Amino acid sequence: MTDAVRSYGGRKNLGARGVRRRRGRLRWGILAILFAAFLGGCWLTRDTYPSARLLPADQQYLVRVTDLAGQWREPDALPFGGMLPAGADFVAGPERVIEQLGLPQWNLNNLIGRHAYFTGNDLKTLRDALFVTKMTRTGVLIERFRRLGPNVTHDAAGGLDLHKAQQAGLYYAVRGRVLVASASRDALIKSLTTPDDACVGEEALARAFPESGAGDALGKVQFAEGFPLDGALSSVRFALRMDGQEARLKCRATLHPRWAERLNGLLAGATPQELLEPLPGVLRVSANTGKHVREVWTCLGAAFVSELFSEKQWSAWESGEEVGLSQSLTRLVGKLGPGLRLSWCGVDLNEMAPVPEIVCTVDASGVDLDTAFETLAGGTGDGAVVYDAEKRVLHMPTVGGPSVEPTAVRCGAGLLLSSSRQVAERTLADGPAARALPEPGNLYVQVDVEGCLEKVVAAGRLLAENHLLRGHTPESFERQAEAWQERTAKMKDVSALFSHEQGEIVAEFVAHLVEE
Amino acid sequence: MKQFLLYLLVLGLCANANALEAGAAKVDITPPVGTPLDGDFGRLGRGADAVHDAIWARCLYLDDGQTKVFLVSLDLWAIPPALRSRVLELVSRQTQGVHVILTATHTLNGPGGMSRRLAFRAFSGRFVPEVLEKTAQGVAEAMRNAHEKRTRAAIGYGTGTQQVLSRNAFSTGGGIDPQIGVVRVNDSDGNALAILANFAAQPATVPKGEEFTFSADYPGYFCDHVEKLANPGCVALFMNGGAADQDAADPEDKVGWARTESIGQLLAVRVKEIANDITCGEPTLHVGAASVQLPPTLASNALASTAPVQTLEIGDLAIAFFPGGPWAETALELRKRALAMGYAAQFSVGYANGRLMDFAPRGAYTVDTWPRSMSFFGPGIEDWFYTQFATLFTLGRPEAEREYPEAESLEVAGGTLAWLRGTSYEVGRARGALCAETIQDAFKSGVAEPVAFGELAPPEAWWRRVPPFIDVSPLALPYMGILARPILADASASVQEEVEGLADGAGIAFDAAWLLQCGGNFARGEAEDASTPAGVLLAVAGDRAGADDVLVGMNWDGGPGARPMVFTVRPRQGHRSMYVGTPWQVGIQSGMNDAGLVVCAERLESTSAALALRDALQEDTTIEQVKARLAALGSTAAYRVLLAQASLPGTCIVSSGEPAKEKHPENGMLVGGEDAAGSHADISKARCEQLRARFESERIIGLAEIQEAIQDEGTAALPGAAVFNASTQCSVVFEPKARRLWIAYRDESGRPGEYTKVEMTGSSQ
Repeated sequence: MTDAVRSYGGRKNLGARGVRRRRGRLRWGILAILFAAFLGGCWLTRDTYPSARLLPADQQYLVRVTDLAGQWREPDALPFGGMLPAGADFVAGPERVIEQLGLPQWNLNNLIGRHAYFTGNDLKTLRDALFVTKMTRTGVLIERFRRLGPNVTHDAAGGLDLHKAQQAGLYYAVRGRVLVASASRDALIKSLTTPDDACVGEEALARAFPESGAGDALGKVQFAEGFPLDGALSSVRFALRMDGQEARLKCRATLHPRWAERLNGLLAGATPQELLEPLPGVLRVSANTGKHVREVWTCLGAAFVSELFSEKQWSAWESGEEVGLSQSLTRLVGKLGPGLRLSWCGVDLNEMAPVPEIVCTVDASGVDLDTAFETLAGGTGDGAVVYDAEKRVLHMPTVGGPSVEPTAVRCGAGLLLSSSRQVAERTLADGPAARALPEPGNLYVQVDVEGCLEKVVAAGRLLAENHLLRGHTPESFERQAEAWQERTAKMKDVSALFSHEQGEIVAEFVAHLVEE
Repeated sequence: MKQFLLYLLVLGLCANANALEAGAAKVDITPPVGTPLDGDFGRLGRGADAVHDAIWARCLYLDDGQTKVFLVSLDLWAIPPALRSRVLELVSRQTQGVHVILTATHTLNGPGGMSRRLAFRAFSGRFVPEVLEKTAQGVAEAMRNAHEKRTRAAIGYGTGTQQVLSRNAFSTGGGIDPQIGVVRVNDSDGNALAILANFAAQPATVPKGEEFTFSADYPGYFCDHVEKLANPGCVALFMNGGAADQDAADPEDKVGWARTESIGQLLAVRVKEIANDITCGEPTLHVGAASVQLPPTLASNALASTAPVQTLEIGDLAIAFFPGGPWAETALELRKRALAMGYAAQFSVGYANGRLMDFAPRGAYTVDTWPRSMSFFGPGIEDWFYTQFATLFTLGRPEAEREYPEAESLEVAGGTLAWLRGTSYEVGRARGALCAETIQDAFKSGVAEPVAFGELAPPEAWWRRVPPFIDVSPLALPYMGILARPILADASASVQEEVEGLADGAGIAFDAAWLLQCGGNFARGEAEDASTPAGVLLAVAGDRAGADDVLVGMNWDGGPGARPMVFTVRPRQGHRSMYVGTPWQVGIQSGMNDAGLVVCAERLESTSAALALRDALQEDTTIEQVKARLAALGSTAAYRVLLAQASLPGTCIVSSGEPAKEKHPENGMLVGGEDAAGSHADISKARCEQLRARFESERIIGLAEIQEAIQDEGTAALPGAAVFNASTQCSVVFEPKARRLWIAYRDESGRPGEYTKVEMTGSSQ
């Protein structure tokens, strides 16, 4: 037995110095772990896969949306909300998808990068739309550790390692930081298995989509045979920008060669022209193809294979043996143009039946209108057309009152035509604006959405009250009208400017929203 | 003494309270040129281009202390509901407890533009709210003025006759209402305050070329001239009578406006003569007024569902106000009834308080002359008015609710047997009541819906060219009802009565019941029976029928929903009969009467032929009579009918043609099918051939064999060519000698069911 003093008891008193040393080691240990975790996180979330490698090159459409998680999170809230195809749930808005996935909304910015791509082949239903975006590192970690929501099942898919978010009906996969998802399993597998040389490629992608501002959607669409517009277009490139109370869509469409040939008569040599501001109305059109009415008429006949619009029919009217209204009219109208403005002003509900009120002005340089009017009035012989030589107004009472009394009157260097004598007189008295639109073009269309709906609803209501509206009682029509009003409540007006430039149709659509 | 003075005071007050007061005024309500004219859709709703003479609102206010009434005459075609509502709104203060009777002279050159309803704008042009307001303000002003001018007055009436001022619109020498009724109102000095005339003739004398001119027509000249003939301040009022079929005549052979003036002035002179003989007093006044539910109509979307019906009694004069245009015949009948009640005189005033178009009486309902066929409440509308006025007249007695015999019915395997009795109307009514739901459904699915969806349309091409979002049926159905009426004109009165009864029993409009008979193919000018089924038939006659003399068997083919019933009818007049038919068809395809006469159609593509067979069963006793009846239809009616009769030779199949073709039994047997045409010709021939082959050998054929033969579902070479095929609804065998028929419906599995015997003399018991 030794005499050495042994001490049994509690912790050894290390003193302040010892404690500090010990705590320092712990900190370093935690830091080391955190650093290791950070390194691991960086490793796990490293950007090893470019988006371009997941976008097959042979798709019919490819669209890039910038700031999808911000500007586009609720497409339903946009003015064109509800206009997407019924089957396009997947592209119905990230906010809704996130909701369906059962994830908190703050995940949105992490799961969707600055750019998001949509691509696919089915333009009618968008069911095979493929969604490709680069997640943030946090987004990658969220996906890795929580998957996209609680009801995500694994789908090995022959080693492709897919996941299915049951509730949202989405298949997805992650490659590097890239999230690729689709409602179609086949589309997703195709994306993951497309060889690199059959993908869009990074350079091509950068060329196709130059850097753009927030809220932009850029895209190109290659149309299949026969769709849309009877196969009139072969491809379209577009750019869409949401900017405050305005949405602006610019398109550049290439006509299908068959249609280019059919419309050759109309489009050959057609270049953007100065367009006059349309006449007042709820639906306003201003057009100028640089061609006179006769030429446009017969070109349309050739394009749409119509007997009515044919050269033969026009000649028959123009050179008919009997001098009559049709002969005088065609001789006059044929020379009119090329500038034309047409407006739908509304519906006269007090007429014998609700009738639309249309007014139009058309260039008439070089046309002797006075003689033409006298010929028209005299040529009919039965007093159906009345010419007021003093006011130089030609009008034709038909059924009912002045709203169904086609009227023609000189208006500056042009001719003013209207389905209604009252509207013609009012337009003339107001002095139709002769200002040019800021941009040249061939066709400008503007729709006052609220005004149009108001007129349509008023006419529908009158018909329903008189039991003449098929499928509607007055009550059911009121419900329908409310639904329409709700759907278009955000939209103030929509306009479109079309022009023909070097074989392409260029269009710019602008939608203004109601200020809240 | 005090008591006596008090008595005198009370007496004086009472006397004063009962004193008649009257006031009259008129206001010019001519709207601006350009306002559409009312009443003639030939003017296409265009506006007036000139004013020939002013349009007036003339008002007579009467108050006997108990009854207060505004009697207003307007130079309008009719009283638009919107105008009446607005006027009542404007004078609500003056009219508390006061009756308002607005009448239109029915001028065809008065202002329109007061119709909110689209259907009426074809007549009255576009709706011009300002014209409605201005006219209402003018009428209200006339009423207020008349009220303010009221003074102590006396009133009397007189009647006279004329023969030269009016004529029947449809036939030279046709019936007219010769009465001119006059009411004279004097002030306390004996001067005429107002002279009111009631005379029946359409104010449609504005000369050709002046159609777009505002004019009150001859009533305008009449009023001007009466006011000239009478003392200053007298207001003349014109109230048209039962004028729907009465034209203004041309007694002085004048043309243009001179003719209009001549009629107005001649009438004025005659009225003044009558007025001069009137002794005025203080008779009591009474106004009867009711807003009554109208009979069902196909024009329910255009016309009001209730009508204001009013009467005014001045002593023993009864005036009836119709909310549309009564015919002279109706006015004369009502007068006869009123006189029988004890009134000394009666006037009928048309075009009052409403705009329900014309009210053609029963005998004239089928008139297809535009625009006088614009009668939409069925031929029973005249009775409806007699009932309403009998209720409102103080001397009248409301008619007791009439009881009608009900149908007896019996459900048998797969079908229904029904027994009907009474007059044609009662038979139809009992049948309609028994099958009301089926008939309503048949109209909905067979007529209303096909019209709504454009499968059935009037002949004019534009009906099919309207935009698809427009449902034309509210306009097309009443129009088709009018187009179908000429076929009814050729049918017997008893057919019309039965259709009327059917409609009343089923609770549908008369025109709806009639369209159900006719279907909707108007292409050949006659509404074709779209649902009359064809059938396959055979008869054995003479020795081959053995003791039965003749047996007739048939399969009744028809589309789904055309479930036939067996009706046994005991009419008030004519033969008892039993027949197989759908619940809604008055015409007959196959049946037998108590004379043992059998009619059995193999092909029946004409409503007229089906109706002729109905009449044949009710009236005929021999095959020859039926042949003559069918021959009278001419070549337009397509039919192929087997005729047979108990105990008599002559069984044959008669086919339409010029002359009609006959086929007689060969070897005692008669089978149709030879001249079958159309898409089912091969099937029809094959079915008949099977029957022929079955009975080829010479032997007597009994009832059971025929019953079995026509239920043969055997496999046929041609699809659908079995004797009992997919279209067959039931098999029927007639035993003319026993006055009995056997019917077998399909059973639940779709197979031929068991036969049920129906005796001519039997009942549901």
